[in-house]
Amino acid sequence: MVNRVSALEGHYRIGSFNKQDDNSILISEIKNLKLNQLSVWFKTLENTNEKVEEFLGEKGCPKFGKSITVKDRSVFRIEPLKFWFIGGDMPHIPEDQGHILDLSHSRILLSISGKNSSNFLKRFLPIDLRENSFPINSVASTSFHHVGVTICRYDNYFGLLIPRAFALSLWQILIESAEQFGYEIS
Amino acid sequence: MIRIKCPYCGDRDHSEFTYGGDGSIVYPELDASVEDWTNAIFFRKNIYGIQTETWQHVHGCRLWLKIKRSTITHEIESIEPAHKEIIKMVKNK
Amino acid sequence: MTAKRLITGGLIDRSKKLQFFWDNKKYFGYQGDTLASALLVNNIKIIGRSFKYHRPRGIMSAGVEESGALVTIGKNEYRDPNVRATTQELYDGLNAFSQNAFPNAKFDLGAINNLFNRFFAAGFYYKTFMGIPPFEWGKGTKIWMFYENFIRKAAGMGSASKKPDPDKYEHMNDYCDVIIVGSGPAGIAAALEAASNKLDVILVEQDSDLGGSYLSEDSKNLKNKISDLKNAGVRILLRTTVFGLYDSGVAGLLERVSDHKAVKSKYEPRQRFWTVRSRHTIVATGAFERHIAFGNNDLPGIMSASSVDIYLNRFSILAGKKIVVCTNNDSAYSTAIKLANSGAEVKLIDARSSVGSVLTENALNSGVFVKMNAAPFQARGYTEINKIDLAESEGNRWNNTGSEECDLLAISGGWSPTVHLLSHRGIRPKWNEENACFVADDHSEPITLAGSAAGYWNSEDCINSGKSAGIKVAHLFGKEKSSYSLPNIGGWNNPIKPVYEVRVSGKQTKSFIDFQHDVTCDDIRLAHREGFVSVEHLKRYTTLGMANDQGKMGNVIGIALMAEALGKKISEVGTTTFRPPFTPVSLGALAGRNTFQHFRALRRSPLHDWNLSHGAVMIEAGLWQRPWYFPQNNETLSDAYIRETATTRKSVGICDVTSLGKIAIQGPDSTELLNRIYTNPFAKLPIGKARYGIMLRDDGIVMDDGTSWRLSENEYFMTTSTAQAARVIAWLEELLQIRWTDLKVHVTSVSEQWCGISVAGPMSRECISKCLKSPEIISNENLPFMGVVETNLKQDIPCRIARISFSGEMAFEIYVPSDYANEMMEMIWIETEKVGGCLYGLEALGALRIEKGHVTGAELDGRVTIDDAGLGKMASTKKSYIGSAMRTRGVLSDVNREQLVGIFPKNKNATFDAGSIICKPSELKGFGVGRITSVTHSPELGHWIGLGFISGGYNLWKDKTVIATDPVRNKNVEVEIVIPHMFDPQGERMHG
Repeated sequence: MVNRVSALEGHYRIGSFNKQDDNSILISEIKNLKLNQLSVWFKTLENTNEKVEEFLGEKGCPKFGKSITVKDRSVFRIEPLKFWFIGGDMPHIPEDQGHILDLSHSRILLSISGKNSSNFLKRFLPIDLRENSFPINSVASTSFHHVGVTICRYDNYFGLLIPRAFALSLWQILIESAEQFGYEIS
Repeated sequence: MIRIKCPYCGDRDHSEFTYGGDGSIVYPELDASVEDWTNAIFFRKNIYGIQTETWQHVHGCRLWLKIKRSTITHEIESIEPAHKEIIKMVKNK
Repeated sequence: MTAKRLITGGLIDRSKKLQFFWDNKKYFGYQGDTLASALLVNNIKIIGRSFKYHRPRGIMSAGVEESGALVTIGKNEYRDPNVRATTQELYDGLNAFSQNAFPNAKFDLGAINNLFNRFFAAGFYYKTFMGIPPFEWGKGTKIWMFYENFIRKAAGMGSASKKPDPDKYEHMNDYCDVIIVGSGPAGIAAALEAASNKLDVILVEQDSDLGGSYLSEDSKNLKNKISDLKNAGVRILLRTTVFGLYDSGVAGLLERVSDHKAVKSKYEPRQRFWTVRSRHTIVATGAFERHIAFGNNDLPGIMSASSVDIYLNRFSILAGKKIVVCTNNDSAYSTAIKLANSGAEVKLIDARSSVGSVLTENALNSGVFVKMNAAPFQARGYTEINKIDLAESEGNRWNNTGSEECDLLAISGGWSPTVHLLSHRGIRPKWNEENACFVADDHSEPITLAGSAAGYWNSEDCINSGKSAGIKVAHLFGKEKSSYSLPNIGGWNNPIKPVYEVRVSGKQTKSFIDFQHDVTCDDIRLAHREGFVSVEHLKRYTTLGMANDQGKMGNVIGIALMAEALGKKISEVGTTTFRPPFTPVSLGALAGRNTFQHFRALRRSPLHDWNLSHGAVMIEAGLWQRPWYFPQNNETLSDAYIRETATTRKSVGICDVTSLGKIAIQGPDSTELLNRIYTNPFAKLPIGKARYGIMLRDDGIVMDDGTSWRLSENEYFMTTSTAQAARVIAWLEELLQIRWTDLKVHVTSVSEQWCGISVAGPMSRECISKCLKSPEIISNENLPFMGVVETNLKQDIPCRIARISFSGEMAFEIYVPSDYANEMMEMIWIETEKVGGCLYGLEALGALRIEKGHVTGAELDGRVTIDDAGLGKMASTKKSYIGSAMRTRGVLSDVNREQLVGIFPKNKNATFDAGSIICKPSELKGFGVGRITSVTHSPELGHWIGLGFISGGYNLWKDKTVIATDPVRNKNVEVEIVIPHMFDPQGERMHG
């Protein structure tokens, strides 16, 4: 089986830059992303609970703009009737309940952490990232330099999903903006 | 910069949306007459006051919305999803 | 003026001495000085020259309203013109230059303008340069164009560098409950109150320090307040101006990150442009002190009284030895007293006939000489003031009466609340007679004024109003709190006497209102005489308030004089509208990091780097870059695409088609959806087959063409053109959410998920088979024309293959998930090279499809029907679909419509351009009879060909000669009309 080649291949340099102790932004790409979209119907929305349980080991159906995360798997509620299952293989679902679409190669996933990560993301994302407004397990699709991206607040990091074709362009803006904080790519 | 309250995503900058068109149009059946279609898509009212517009939250949830807006002050009076079932879902969220 | 620094006091740091350069000469100041305070204490009187008359200008204020001390900071590519010396923080090594003067501000040749000032009154350029009789009687532009050269050179103040901006800038976004503009007594009180109610507060201060008027008073009080703010969790932004208020509680802010730093951090941006979204805005921006119009009131050495106070208390500079303070209100008294206590000889001239005894006694006890009922009438001195002539008031008149020597004249003509931000929101200022100023009118915006910005003059009222604002906002957000009451605005012990201009009849003086644009009182009266009486015309005719300071000091005087001329009240004249920005904002800040390669995001195919490393020259296609051609051995574009086209038709070629739109369509009603939007039948498309389809708009015009592949019973893979990809998916979503809400279909863009290549040519099947796990999958039987299969390449790379041809050759489109693109390409390229195949780009792709007469967006330009494009057979007669009802209406059925044809040059060596207009040989004019949309050299036919449209179509023009005209390039070429399928019209090669 051949290896997947990331959109940042050749431009992703591991190491630190202008490191400033705990001020630095920690960025890493979560490679070989597994991302499957489940689209359901109004009448079959409830069945999602089962699929989520199968996938996460925990029952639930993420509400609008929310995610449920267990270890390194999450389920995002992206649209009223669309869910993203991230971090593992998608359980099967009969077609009358919903459709699965493999989007694993359509995005790159960046993890952004560090005490300045919120401050850093404010430079690009026009949404309210304050902790009270965007608590853990919040998901939002918004725009970054006129490109649609999706962000989620996990326990101690932000996950940022960027469309693959725009990944390098936005990565360059991210890195340039991170210089003033110092950053570390792992 | 105006802020638009997407029923699904909450208040967002207008740059996440694109304007669609006249939200008051009732589209005829596909096999309706040329007259019916002409009236529907070519003749617009030039409203001084509240008009209904369609917008799409393109950099967000991709919902199509019906927005009532004042052509005088530009203020938005109301926003709801275009799809009736989604309106119900949003009410119950 | 002989200024000196006091030994102690002020907020400067005497332990940090700084050197700076003014017009290349070295001077010294201290940390905490502004450039203005440093120039002041070094007794540099003439800082610049005025715009029109080149009169000498000095420091007039201590803030953003500065109209005289405009300088250029920095050299070469860092040069920043029109900077207010009063807001530029001093740093070690600062380079500042005078501007708008030659050779320098002190000895400016431009002052010659002043001698001819009679001819440069307001509106002079509308009246002069209109022609010199009898050669041109007031018409024609020749003379005007001649003078314009000189006027243009003389216009403007500082000059900008023409080199690229070396600094970086960035954008910021933020949210809060309350944004408070201004950190003076009112702003701080409001912030503390709001924060005590657990509101999220951002306090924004344009100065380098918090405090506003506290900075020239009691510093211990301020220190305590600042730590209170920090403890309360108030977020503070310093050196940040709220420059505009916009809809929906959005504020634009400019943060000056490094304009005050001697050594800038390598990675910090110079400035940040913030967009802050709040639920409520408290405007505590204070008030500007006005000046008074009198003769030569623009002489260096004349400042506002409050700024003299600030230079004394904040910067510890006594700006003069013999100081005359002229006022019409109470505020200047405390300034006069402080100046006297610091050792200056102070004379206070009050325009009012009497005031309360307390005020006068305090002044006298401090050694201030007080004269009532008098006002400044004419300033004396050549390049700086040395005497002020006074006038006594007698009813409505002023009579000349004596003069006083002085080296500094401090003026207080009243106060104007800083209501600009409210004006941005359409809130009109309202004239308040008692306080002789404009205050904000009632409104329903989420904005509350506090402090002097609301019209409160005394400290306690300011603090109370700030606190009340904080409480009010807490109420609005449903936080329980005590009630609040607002004091009445105003608060002077003695009323102000409105004095705008001091004029003595019989005496001619030049009294300035706008110090930058040299607008005088006479100019206002001139405008009135000439009929420009509305305040909007007054502004534009005289240019009052249109310079850097935007009328902060002088607008009210102009309005008052116009009111007088009209015999109206000031409230009836009104003001013009203040618009953002409040103070200048650099374009760099607005651009942020979105410059050069980041002006727009670049959309890269997964094969982007692979293409480049194999010699691709790229071309933009929207946000994408696509390979244009692959030159070998110094080939030109022409050489390359001709070779690529020929090789593809002879052997095999590979083209990256990733940029095409790709949409996943899923759901039991998917077939129904496609059947309703495509003109041709889709209801019975078998699983495992693809079909070319055309979509129309509601009005019957072609929207886009593409293919849809049936992957299973309820799932399709749709491709669209690159240009229409975003539009088509939004269209499908619109149809499903607005019109056909009962259809169970989900659509999702998968443009990013898949990388696509087209492999075309007689050897295409052979090459691809070598890459497949099971080669027979794409045999002619297993994969007929328009067949679709999901299978695996070697190394288990999943792929989708469709036998689709855009080029007219036997061809396949291969799609793999994007991360496998490079591996796939390596595999197929090896096979391709073995058979002498090539990579081909957009240019060759064009040549191939033009030869076949296949249309693209160049033809389907939004004016073309399916019949015009010669594809009428694709319009089903058995079903209705989007556009079916309208596509043959009236004009769209006109037989004279321009229809798709092919075009050959008559002389086979000639070429013609796309965009040419096709005309009858006898009528080379107007819209002609047709147009040419695409052109190329055809390797197959050996000559130039084109596609286009001609009225009436092929049958009307075959065997006739017409002309392809290019009136722009003056090119006319004889051409003949042929059928559009210029090569392999039967399509034999695709079906092999």
